Amino acid sequence: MSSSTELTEKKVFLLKSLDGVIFEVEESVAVQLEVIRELIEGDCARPFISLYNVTSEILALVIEYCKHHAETCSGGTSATIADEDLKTFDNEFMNVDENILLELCSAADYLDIKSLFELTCRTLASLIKDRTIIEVRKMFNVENDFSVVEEKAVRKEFAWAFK
Amino acid sequence: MSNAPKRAHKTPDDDFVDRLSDLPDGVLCHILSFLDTKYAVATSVLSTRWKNLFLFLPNVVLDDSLTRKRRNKKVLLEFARFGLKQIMLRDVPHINQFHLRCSFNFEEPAIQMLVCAAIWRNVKEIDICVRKGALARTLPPEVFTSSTLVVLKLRGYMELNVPELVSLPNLKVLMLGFFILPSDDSMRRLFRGCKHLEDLSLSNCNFWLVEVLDLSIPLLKKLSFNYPCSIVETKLVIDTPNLEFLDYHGYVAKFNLVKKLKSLVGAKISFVTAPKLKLPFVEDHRENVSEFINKLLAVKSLYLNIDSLEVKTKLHYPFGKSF
Repeated sequence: MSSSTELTEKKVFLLKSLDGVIFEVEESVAVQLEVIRELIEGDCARPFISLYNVTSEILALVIEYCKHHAETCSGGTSATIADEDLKTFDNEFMNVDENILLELCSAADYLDIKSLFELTCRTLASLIKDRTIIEVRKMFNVENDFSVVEEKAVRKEFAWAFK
Repeated sequence: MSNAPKRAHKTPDDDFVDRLSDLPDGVLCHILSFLDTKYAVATSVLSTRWKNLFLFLPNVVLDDSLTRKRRNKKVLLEFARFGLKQIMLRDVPHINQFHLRCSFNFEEPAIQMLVCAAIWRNVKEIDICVRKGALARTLPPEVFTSSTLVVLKLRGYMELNVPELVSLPNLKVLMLGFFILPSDDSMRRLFRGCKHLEDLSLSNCNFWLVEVLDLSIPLLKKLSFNYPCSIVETKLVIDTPNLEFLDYHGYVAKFNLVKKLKSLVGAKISFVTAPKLKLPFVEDHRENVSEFINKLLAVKSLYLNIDSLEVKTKLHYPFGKSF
């Protein structure tokens, strides 16, 4: 948890969210955000890194995710146990409402965190898959802006895709 | 660090904002790529934003089992037209994978057109499984001269026609299933055209036209034979100095290992006998099998299964390994 007890001081970086909240993260966590890794390598990470597209609420979740992944991977446990642990964590982590899921996906894309991006996209796909078009529209507030004629034409063109 | 709750509270606006459609095209396509093509295409009716997104999917996966409920010519034609549209109209010049599964009578020219289009779009992986006969007549020769192809998997249930010119400089994985393999020369030509082949799998192929199967493939790392048919009279010449994994499951053949396989890490050899079919037993090939197994001795992990205990005890392998 805290690095103060350790003899060698761990490098920390400050991340500033869209709404001005500053988060302190260790290097092992920060480098998982590909965007930030580049900034660190280019020595442009001081005094803090402003992330204009991510709110503090989402950034806190992203950091929680990266922290858990960094700790599990460097924890010295065997690869299979670490894999199982991450799988369980990921499943629980995805237990959020659609709006947060979408924001996490967007943040993972913006911050370039490959594993979180894959995870959120896969979860969103599974939400779409099990639902009818009307249910998907309702769930994600997708407004149907087709005219009746247009929608009919699309359904006709891809008739094989609709039961 | 602030501790955020797992579930955030919705702002009043959340109920009306379409955050999903606000995601960039690339992200939406990535989400759609986790869905079967049928479900991905069905999203085109969500809104105008979604209408043409399927055109940007990185992989083209056409599986006619999705249309099974509506088997008629018109639906199949629409299906083929969709595939062609997806390949030709896309904005990106590359396709990662082209998968085609046809379990019933698909228009043969349509298959040819789709495959050619995918190759023209620099496809990296082709995986085709079609009903009996259709592929042999329609597999375009362009499949054998692609400079971008890395993976080629074909299941065809017919004789494999290898064109005069084979040039697959980047091909690393070749899987042939349910083919009647052509003459020795054709097979040699095929392998010579795949200079960088690392993984070769021949599954349920029929060898009755092949006298000598010359597997002189310098970079091959993985070789597997599964249920080779009529292989008993075929001489298998294996000259693969870099082979790491060998998997053989089926009747005994006339093995000829040119050199010891020094790089071999794992081998799984499983001979089956079929007395009712009057196929030769392992014991008829005793010398040959002994020699073959001997040359595998450097292997780190060996799984050996001979489908008859009697035969097993008759064979005297000059080594102390248990199997």
